[in-house]
Formats: sequence, C-alpha cells, structure tokens
Amino acid sequence: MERLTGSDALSSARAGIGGPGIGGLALAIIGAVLALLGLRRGRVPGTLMALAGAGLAYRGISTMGAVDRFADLTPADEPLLFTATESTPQDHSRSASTTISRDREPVYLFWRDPANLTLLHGPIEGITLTDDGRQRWRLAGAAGPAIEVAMRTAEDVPLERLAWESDGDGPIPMSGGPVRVKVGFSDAPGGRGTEVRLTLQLPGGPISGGLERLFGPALEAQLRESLRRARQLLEAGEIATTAGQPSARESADDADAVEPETQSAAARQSTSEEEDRRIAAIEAASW
Amino acid sequence: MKAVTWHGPEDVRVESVPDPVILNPQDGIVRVTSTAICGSDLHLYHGYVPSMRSGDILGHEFMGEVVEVGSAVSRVTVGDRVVIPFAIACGRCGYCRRGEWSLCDNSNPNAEAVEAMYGFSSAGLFGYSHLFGGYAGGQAEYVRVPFIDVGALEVPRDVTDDKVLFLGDVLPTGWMAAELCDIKPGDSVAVWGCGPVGQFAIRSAFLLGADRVFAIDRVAERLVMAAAAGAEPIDDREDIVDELKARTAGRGPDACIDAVGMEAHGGGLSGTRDRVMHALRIGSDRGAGLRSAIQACRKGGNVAIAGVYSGYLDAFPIGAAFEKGLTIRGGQTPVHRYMRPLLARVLEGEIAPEAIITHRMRLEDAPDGYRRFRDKEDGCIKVVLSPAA
Repeated sequence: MERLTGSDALSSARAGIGGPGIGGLALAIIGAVLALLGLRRGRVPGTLMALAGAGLAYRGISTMGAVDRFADLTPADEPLLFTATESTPQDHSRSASTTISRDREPVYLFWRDPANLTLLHGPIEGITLTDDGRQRWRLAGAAGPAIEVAMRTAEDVPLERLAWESDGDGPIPMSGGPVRVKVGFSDAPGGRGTEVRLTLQLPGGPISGGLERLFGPALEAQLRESLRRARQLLEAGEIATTAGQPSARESADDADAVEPETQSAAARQSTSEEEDRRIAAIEAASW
Repeated sequence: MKAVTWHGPEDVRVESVPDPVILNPQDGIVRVTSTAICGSDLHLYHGYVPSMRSGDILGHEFMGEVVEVGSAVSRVTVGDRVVIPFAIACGRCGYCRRGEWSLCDNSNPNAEAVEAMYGFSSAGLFGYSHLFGGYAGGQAEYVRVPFIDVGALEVPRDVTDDKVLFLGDVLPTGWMAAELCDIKPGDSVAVWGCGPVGQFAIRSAFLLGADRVFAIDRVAERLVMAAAAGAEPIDDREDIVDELKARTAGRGPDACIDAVGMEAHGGGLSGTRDRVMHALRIGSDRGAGLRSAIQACRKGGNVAIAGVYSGYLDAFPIGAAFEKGLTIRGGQTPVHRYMRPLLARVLEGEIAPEAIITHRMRLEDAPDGYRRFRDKEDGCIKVVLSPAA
C-alpha cells in the first residue's frame, strides 16, 4: 500500500467520473483543490487547510469506493516490500525544527496558549474552547466557507511537550486514526536557547500515505513557516511583513510575490490590537 | 508620495505611490532627506537579481527624519534625525546578539524561498527584491523602517546629510572589507573596483595601517579619486598579477579586496566565458575581479569580498585559493556594528565620506541618475537624490 501515491489517488478519483460516487467525486475534487491551494500558497492557507483538503479528498474517494479499488490493486505480499527505513503505514508524520533564543518556559507557555496558535498557522482564524476542554479550530475559507475541525489537547507535559489531535466527530472524518500535531522542547547546547520540534502526524491508511507522499515536502515547508513565525514572535516580538506597504502596483495592499497575503486591510486592523496585546504579554513573560 | 520604482531591466521610473504606514508595532516612518543610488542597485537595474516585481520601490541607502513610530518603539522618537542600515535586524535573535546583524533570523518574511536557495535565510533588505523580503525601499519621500529602535543611528543636527548618509551602507561596507584584510604593519592591499565601496575600502585600509594600497579599475575618474586618497592606481586592462608582483618586488599584495561583485567587466577568456554563461542564463554571476584577486594574492594572504554575489560563479579558482592557503571572507555588512564607531571617525574628521559624491539630483531625476551611474558618464561615481528638492 505504501506504493500508492497521491497522484494515483487523485487520478483514480478523476477516473470515477460518471460512476456511482459522483457526490464523492465532487468532495474529492474540492478536497484536492483545497489541499493544493493550502500547500501552493505561502503562509496564509497552510498546513491545516491542506489537511482539511486532504480530509475532504479522503472522504470523497472513500465514498467512491476508490479505497477498495486501491486495496484490490495491492498484492498480498506487499508488506514485505517495506524497508527498515520506511515509516509504518500507521506513521505518516512530517516534522521540522528550529532553535529559539529564549528559555524553555516562555517557549512552552507560548505554544500552550491556543490563541498563539492562530498566529502561527495562517488559516486558523480562531480557536474556540468548549466546556469539555475541547477545541474547535476554525480554518479560514479562502476556497469556500470556513471549516471547523474538532481538536483536543492530547498531551501536556510542562516544558517538555504538547500535542493536539483531531476528534473523531469533526466534520472531516479521518479513518485510520486522528491527525496529531506535536511540539517538543529541549535545551539547545551552550545557552543557545530552546530547540523546538514540530511534528504533524497524519492518520494511517493508504490515502494518507499517498497524500503524505504527495504533499509531504510542502507540509514540511508549512511546518517550517509556523516555526519561523513562532521564533519571530518569541524573539523579535512581531511577525515580519510587507503586507500593506506601498508599491507602484494596482493594489495598495501589496500582495507579495513569494508569500501571498490575502488578509484584507480591515481584517488586519481589527486583529492588530489584539495581536499587540498578545505580543506585549509574550514580551512581559520573560525579558 | 513620489518614489523610484523598478519595472524591468533598465526601466526605472518615478511615480506617485501611497504613503507608507506603520504595519508592525516596532516600525517607524522616516521622511527621507537624502537617498543614494548604490552600486548594488545596478545589479537590480540590469536585472541580475531574481524576484523583483514591477512596481517595487528601490533604495537601501537613505536617511531622514522620523515622523511616526509604532506602539512598541521606545528609543527613537518623532523628530530624530537618523541614518538607517540597509539590512533589517530584529536585534534579539542569536545572530543579532552576536553582532551578525545582516544575518538576522527574523526580518525576512520570505525566508522559505531564501532557505531553498542558500540553505538559510539572511536578513531582509530594503528595496532589494522579494527574496530579501520585498521591503519597499528608501528612494522615496517616505519609507517604513521595521525595528527602527534597533537600526536607526541618530546623527547630530549640525552635520550635513552628505557626511553621514553613507553610514547606512557603503562606508561600513568598505570599512569591513579593509578590516577583513587583517592588516599588519608593512602590508600592501589591492582593491578591485574603485566605486564608492572601493573608495572607502582604500581609505579604511590606510586608517587600519596599510603601508600601500593598489587601486584597480578601468575608469579614469575613479583611479584619480583613488590616487587622491593615496592609493597607487592600476588600469585593470594590464596583467594585474604581473603588475602587482612587479610593484611589490615579487611578494604580491598581502590582502586583496573584491569591491566589484557579480558584474565584473572581465577581459580575456575569463570575461568572455562569463558573458556567454550569463547570456545563456547558465551562470548568474561574473567574477573576473574575484578570480584575479585570488590569483594575485600572496601565499597565506586575505581575500575580502565586499561586492555582491547572488548565485553561482563559474571557473572559481579553488586550486589557487587552496594551495596558497588563502583566507577568504565576505558577506553583507552588519552595518549596525560599524555605524557608531564610524560616525565618531567622521565627526573627528578622519574620514570625509562626502568626497565621493559626484552628482546631486532631485528624486524625479533618478532614471537619469541610474543611467549616468551605469554608463560612468560625466565622471559619475556616486549619485545622491534629494526628495525635497
């Protein structure tokens, strides 16, 4: 099953046109588009939009019976082809790391605050905490309406690690296990601060494997971008930007070539005060 | 406001654009009183630097008066007269804390793209392509300055712009090149390229104790200006290695400075090769100056690279560099480290930076300024633009 790639999945999805699973096809295509949008662009639609897309694609393809088709294509002796270095079907994870020139405590506290996460993952418009301690991560709907994903804190070991994982009852079903986001902290040598490792773990199963292979490098890029933003906030106190600066192009809200910024000026205005307060709090925590 | 904008190779315009606004809490807005065209702007002008976009505002050597500051700015206040470093530094990352300001980890919003090219991203730069952040530059009436508390150098009111403007780039860049030569008593230093950076490298080498400085260029006015500082001019059409050996009784220069960078106008086979490779878009950088410097440098000597390179250099003489045990250093100058000590030297009269200015123009005349600077027309060595004029 590991031999399946995302492009196989997507082309199989397309091959299903006219078949019984037309609703599934639509979902699969919307999902694939969402995933590609999330990954092609820079920071704004990011990891979780891609994930949402992947989830929709998965649901669409499942509805079409494509999963069964893949399963049929897989020879019975397939597992023998796994090599020692390859991940197991249950572990489709991607990770990235950085070193932040701050002590572990402010770094850990920063990641522990759900509101900060909305600053790191561009597409997360907000995180709502519900009474039972669960969270709903609201993802920006650049390619449609906003999507909510149910997440819960799966692990919280102070100064060591944090983990969140998707709840099964969310709008994006992930068979094969939850999506996990993990972050671990350790001391960097020689007073260099804190080493932070961010890991995204996709559910097991053939589709995730394929999507992870197709989108893996882009997912890693998104993880790196999230880490850079965390480092910028923790070290410099703000996220570097050029959105809104002048140029001799049509729009005053200068969309950057390398990193498209789709946030409207009005939206930026309304969040900037909140962001200022947050940054001030981060600053006060440890300087 | 008026601003100098880039629209493609050799297409620079002056246009009306929106005024800059505070975007981040540590930003400041500066009303520009003087802004220079830098030699490295010619790399943009010629289209050698990737990721420029039509409409980008140019300029990374500028000064002026602070007219607005963000909510988290505490050191700089409205009304301050300031010079701004060309590289943007956060002041708090591991690199900034070590004084490596131009390597700042946190000032380039497009770090991912640079990491893909160079492995790691260096600092964001004003007006120097989207790879380096896409920040609007200072060849404009107003400019937004991120982390203004970290970068701004306050200068006294009674000193003219001409004397302090170059503290933001070419003066520290020339100084660092000389510093990297690790000059000892009796040392001779050869400088390739006698544009503004070369001129300051020559003067800095003398201040740091060089016995002799050789100035290599092919533009007569530049050689005259170098000679005025005490350097021995050499036309680069000559066989430089032989000429330098002849002038040093066979020893060769103890240190060599490449103040040319990736657009060296090389002659002979090396220059032809570079032109062909560039025309074919195979190799982006032309390196006749650097190759010659490595070849001419004495065994165990120092080679300092002040000129800008952005991509790959073909036919790099690694054999000569290795077998002669050369020390090669360079990079974008951490201007923040040098501004204050160099301001002191300027105020004490040890350096007269204004001596390199050959042309003063209105901001509106920038397209003409770029063209004259490119063509070395009319003795053009350094153009300073005044937005208020």
